[in-house]
Amino acid sequence: MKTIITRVTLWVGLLCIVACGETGEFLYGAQFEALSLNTNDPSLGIHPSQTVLNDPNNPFRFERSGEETKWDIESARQPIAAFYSWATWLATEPTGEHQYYVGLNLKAIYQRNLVPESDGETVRQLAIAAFRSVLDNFPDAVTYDITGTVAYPIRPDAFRALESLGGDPSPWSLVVDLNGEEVLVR
Amino acid sequence: MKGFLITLCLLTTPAWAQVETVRVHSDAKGYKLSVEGKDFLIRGMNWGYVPVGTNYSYDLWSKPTDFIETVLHREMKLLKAMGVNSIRLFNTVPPKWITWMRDKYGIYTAVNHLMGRYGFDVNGTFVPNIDYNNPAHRKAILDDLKSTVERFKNVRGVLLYMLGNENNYGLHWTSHEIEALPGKAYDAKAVHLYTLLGEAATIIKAIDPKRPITMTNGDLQYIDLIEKHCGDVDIMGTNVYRGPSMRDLYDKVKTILKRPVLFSEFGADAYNARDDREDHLMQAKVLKAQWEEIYLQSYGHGGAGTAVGGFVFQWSDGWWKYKQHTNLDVHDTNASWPNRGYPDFVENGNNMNEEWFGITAKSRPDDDGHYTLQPRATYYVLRDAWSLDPYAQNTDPKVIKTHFDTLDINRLGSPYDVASVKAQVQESNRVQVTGLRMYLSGTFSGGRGATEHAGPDVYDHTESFFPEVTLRPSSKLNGRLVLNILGNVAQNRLDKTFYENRGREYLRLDDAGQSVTETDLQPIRVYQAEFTVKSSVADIHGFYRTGHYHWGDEGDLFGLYREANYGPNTDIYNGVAPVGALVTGKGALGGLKLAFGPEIYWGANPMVIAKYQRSLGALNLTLVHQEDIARRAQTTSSFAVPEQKTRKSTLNLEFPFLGGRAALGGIFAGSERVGRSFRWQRDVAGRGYLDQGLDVIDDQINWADTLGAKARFNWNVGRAIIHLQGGYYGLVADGGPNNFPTGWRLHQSGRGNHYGGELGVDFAVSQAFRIEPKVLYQQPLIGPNKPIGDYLSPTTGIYYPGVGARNVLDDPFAVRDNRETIAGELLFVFDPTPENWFWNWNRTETETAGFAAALSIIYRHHPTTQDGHVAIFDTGMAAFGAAPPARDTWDANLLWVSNPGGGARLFGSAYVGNQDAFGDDSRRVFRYGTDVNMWWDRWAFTSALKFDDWGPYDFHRDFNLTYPFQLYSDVSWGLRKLSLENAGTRIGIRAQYRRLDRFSEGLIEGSSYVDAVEYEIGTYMDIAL
Repeated sequence: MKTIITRVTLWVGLLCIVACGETGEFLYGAQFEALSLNTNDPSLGIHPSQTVLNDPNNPFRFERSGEETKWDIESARQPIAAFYSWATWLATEPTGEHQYYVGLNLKAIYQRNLVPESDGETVRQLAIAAFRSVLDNFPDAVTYDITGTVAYPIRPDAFRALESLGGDPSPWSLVVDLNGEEVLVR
Repeated sequence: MKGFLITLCLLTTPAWAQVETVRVHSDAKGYKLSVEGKDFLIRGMNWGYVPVGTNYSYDLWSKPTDFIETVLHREMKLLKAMGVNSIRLFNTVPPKWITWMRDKYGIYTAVNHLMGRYGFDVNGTFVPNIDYNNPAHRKAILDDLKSTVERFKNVRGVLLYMLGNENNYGLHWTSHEIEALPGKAYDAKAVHLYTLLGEAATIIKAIDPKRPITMTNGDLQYIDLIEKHCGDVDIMGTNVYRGPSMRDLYDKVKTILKRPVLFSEFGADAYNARDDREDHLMQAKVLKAQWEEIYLQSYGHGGAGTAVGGFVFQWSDGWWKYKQHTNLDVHDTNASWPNRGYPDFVENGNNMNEEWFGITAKSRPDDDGHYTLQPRATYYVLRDAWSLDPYAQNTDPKVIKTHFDTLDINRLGSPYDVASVKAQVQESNRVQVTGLRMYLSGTFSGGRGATEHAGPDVYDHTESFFPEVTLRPSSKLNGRLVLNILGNVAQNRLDKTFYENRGREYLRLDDAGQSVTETDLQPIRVYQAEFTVKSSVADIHGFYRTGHYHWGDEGDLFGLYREANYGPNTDIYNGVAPVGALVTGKGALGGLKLAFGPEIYWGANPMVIAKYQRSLGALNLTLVHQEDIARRAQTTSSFAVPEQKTRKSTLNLEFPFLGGRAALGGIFAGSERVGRSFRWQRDVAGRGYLDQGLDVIDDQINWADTLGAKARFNWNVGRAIIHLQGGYYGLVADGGPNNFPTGWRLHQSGRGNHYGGELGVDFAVSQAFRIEPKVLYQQPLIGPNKPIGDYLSPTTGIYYPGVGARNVLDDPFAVRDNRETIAGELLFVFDPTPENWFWNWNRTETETAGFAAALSIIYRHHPTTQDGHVAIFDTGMAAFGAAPPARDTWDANLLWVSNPGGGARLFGSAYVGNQDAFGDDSRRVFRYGTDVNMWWDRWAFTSALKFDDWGPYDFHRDFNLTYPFQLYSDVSWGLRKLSLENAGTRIGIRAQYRRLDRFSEGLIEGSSYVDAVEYEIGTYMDIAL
């Protein structure tokens, strides 16, 4: 009995020593220019995938950007950072708006050659998939104007963006209804 | 005139004056008893009245007189017809009923003082394990014995005095259930026991010389000490289970003790464990052989001459014997100990089925609490056997043998075969509809002011049906299935969360963006199901929404296999839990248990849990391993949030320690999280990260974070019971909740990421009043994260990531109930009947005190806050981004039960406290309320008042939704008394009323809450067949 107690006490003490040791790295701010896009995952940033939350390249994987900061990041003209910011929002709160901005930033990454040339096609396909996801998964997708108060549907814009990248939007078609508004129909 | 005077004297002389003298006669031919000079062979029976569904705490003698008389007439008639002349009980029979049974049926009673076998009240404290060497314990027992003998010395009908019940086995056994026979490790304690019994016998003799004294020893263990210390014990009384023959017992008693012997218990069970079936003929064969031997060993037949008879164990089956507090309405066929002497013995197995020792089988009680008996073969065999007078002049061994040889067990057993076949036809059909419940209700609801329910009152109705089917395709397989079938479902209920709400309508948007009304209707759904398969290797029990208990009493120190009895909550939230199966090993696999399933407790991931327990002398070793198969995606209540897929292993030791019990254990858990990243903070002297005064550190889980250790000690010290527990849990070394049966509400967390301990003392101020203080200390290894918003510098373009509160869904660990705490609880318990434990789950039915209550006051000091709580949002399960600020909380909670008489039962509660929501809302809630309930005959009344309190569901506290006033009330009448396990058929009216304010759910957003009220009145008919 005494031996058992002694061994348990030693084990607990060892736990405390090991567990209480100092580890880890301090968190600092960082520039977005250092970011690179992970092109190995064909579902990255495409709803319902959540793999972006485990992507080591994603600076927002611990904590997504703030409600206001995400727009600051979008305005910072750093498409890779913006992609990851919107993809993280999409993975944690799937909306058409989030998916749409994922697509926009992928398109920007592609068009601005922000990835090695060999990965360009991959990024283009990802962008197409993102806009496709807006059409297929988010029938009520809207975004807001600069004032944040006027909503307008973004599926027509997603449709056009998809086409501009050379993607096939079928079975969706963009038509104008009797009110003169663009609507998507199958 | 003389005759008249004599008659007058007899009529006016109290019954106590006609007390019989019982003597032990001995000469060269042996020993025999006489009652008032007539030879008396004890044809005794261990008798009791315990209806199916109750246990040892059932007290016949507290029932109304006419009830007792009805029972005694029924039972004593059968006993007398059999030839029984004396009975033994495990509780004290009031003197008037002893004389009643003697006068009306000629049946005597053995007065049995248990001598502290199952605990005793010592100076106002109930001591569960008596120390026979403790002077205070001895004095308390002997004082009580004295007053018992004084009480019974002049009572007609008392045959003799008995001391104890296998107290020698109690020196070793750790529970009140029967265990395998002990070894000789407790000889020193035995001396103290037998000196006590010796003193007791001397005391009895001095007070009542008219009756002999015996004991109830476990077999002949310590016969040498009996001889040395128990000189005033006139008859060697013993509980013996050696099978058909007692072998050398009679001779040993004669040679060593030079006294007669009576069997205070002996007999056989009527269940054949080898063949797994009822076998009353096996029972009859054993008892016939035992009584033949008694006859041959009785006075004057050339044997030892020491046998004076015995009390057969037992009159009717004890459905409560296995586990004693659960499955009371199930006739368990579990055998709890092995015995080679009996014909159904199997190597490495148990064959003594404690619930089947009756020589009569019993039916379930009717609505009045009476049951009927079906005598088995043994009844008729002994009836015929006892027709022979062993002391008659022409009775010799040859006559005895011939007489017993002519007893045809098969023929004598046929009445029971017929009766049991009839009963089995009713109970054992392969498929049988065993129940039907129909719930029909109508509801008016409405509101006033700015509530969603404002407007004209609305009426709607609900119909819900629950047919139950039992399947028994073989004796080794049985199952039960309960379906729920919906009729209409009311759409107007104030509280939208109820079992049938899957039939409610809801709106959704179609592809064109138009609202459509839908019903997620599953008109037929499985409500409950379970099955049991028995084999020689293992038993398998499958369960679907039927509860099960934890393994905390079986060595699971870290609580991995959780309690899964949720009462009405799984119905309210449409939970589908628990679901799974439990395999219990037998024989070579004994000690092994395996539980597995998609949700074996509410919120569990699909998992497998294995437990192996082994006793090594006084040490119990238990190994438990949990392996999650997948991660549960959703839940139906924030009470049951599934955590991340994991695996856990624990090794636990339990052993006696310093007169108490100790448990030590280690846990290894969360190894799959090694390498995962997490973010934490610490105070820093300077400005810190984003001027928050904090360093923020990115870190990783390492192997040491998966380890933990725990220790628990319990001691009885004088009037106090001390409970001490402490533990260290690595960051991801998550255990389960602490499981131990006490009244305290304050408990240390079982979650990882903390160290701490608790100390509680249960102090008995008097027999009825206890004070139980407790203190708790908990400290997280890594504290909660203070939420810090991210920031993108417009000048430098540097992005500073935010830091959020952690949560159990996304992070490797979180600070929740393991938060920094220094707390104290003061618990006062007033319970004048401590034998009915106040903290039984069915206290409202088992508490017999005129008034009993418990008041608990808790103060919690929280220097720091928590990480985020997980709740169910519109989009599914998600975590709050913050928690209420760090501040202290307190609350007081009163529970009470009263039996004012007249068959009424009152119970209720009251509470007050200053507490926080679970979510991120910082508004502090000062809440108070009370409820009162009354059950009287077939009526039941409930009323609950709540002030400034959360609504009834989980999301109310999650999102801090309170009402300034809530009232719930219900009056119902039933075809029988309400019971917690089976309400039966009831008709009732219920009412609900609440006021709303700006913090309430249901208030129309942006409106004034003045005069906003909601109400609902409903009638219901709940028909149960």
